Amino acid sequence: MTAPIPATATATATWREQLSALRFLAAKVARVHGPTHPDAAIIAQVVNTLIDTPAVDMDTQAALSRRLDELTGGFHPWPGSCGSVHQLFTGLKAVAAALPKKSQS
Amino acid sequence: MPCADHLPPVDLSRVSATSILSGEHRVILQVLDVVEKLAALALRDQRIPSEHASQALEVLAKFADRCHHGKEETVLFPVLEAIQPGFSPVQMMRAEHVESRAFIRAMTEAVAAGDAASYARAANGYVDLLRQHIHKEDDILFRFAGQMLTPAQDAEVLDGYRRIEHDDMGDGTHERLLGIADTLATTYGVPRASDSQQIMDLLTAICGCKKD
Ligand SMILES: [Fe+2]
Ligand SMILES: [Fe+2]
Repeated sequence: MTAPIPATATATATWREQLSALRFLAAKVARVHGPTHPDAAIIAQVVNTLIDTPAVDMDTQAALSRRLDELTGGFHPWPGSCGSVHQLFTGLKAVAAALPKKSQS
Repeated sequence: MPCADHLPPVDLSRVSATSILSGEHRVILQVLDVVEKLAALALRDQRIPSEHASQALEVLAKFADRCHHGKEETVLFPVLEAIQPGFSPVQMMRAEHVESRAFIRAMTEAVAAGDAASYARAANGYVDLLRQHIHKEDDILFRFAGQMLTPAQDAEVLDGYRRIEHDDMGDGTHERLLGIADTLATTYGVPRASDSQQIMDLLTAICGCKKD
């Protein structure tokens, strides 16, 4: 018999918590799809850089958000791509929407 | 049957039926370290840190039990039992999975009731059981399994893991749970298994699109 599955407050997850999961998806997509989509490895690097970016550094956050937009073609999954790519791009789009849009300086 | 000490340990540098599970064990051990701290806090404050306890329980119920134990019980163990009927280490591991579910239920009920003492008792029981269980699998069962499985059987088992991780759990669920495990680890000052590139490679090795 399977143990009961408790509810958790995922709805309140911050973009940083979302990135914690996206780090694994980005690494998987880079590993599996890197040979045909070289940008996948760069996306994974940008995700890691964003995780390490201090909360107060909004300029860098805005720049990385724009970079993710460019690398993913506006967060549109590649034609025929798998569920992992769709999940990654959808998650990155949500994170980008929560990040500062313009350089603050 | 030879003594497990004379068999090579699981090779974490390549993707296999056993290394994938050993990689997941590192994450489960990380969550056990967090749960041990949550139990100590519950006893000290006579109050359960309920948001984090619920998050840890979600990882234990879905990642450790449904996904990881699911891979063992429905994919790896049946293959080992087909090779060697009545293979006793597998029977013992199944029994410990059942025991672990009782602890998860007890923790869940204690969180719902706000019963700090019961939570700490169940949490510490679960931590002790799972640490020993993982030790037995990594150092005994998986060493035997590594010798028993042919390359074709290994590939068949990996395909079964893919079915559970993607078709049953759903794309992205595995990663969401790994993310929660890492956020909890950061909060409680526990080292993250995924900081090891070797473990990260194993945790991200299986994709639903079968291109791995
Ligand atoms: Fe097990
Ligand atoms: Fe296990």
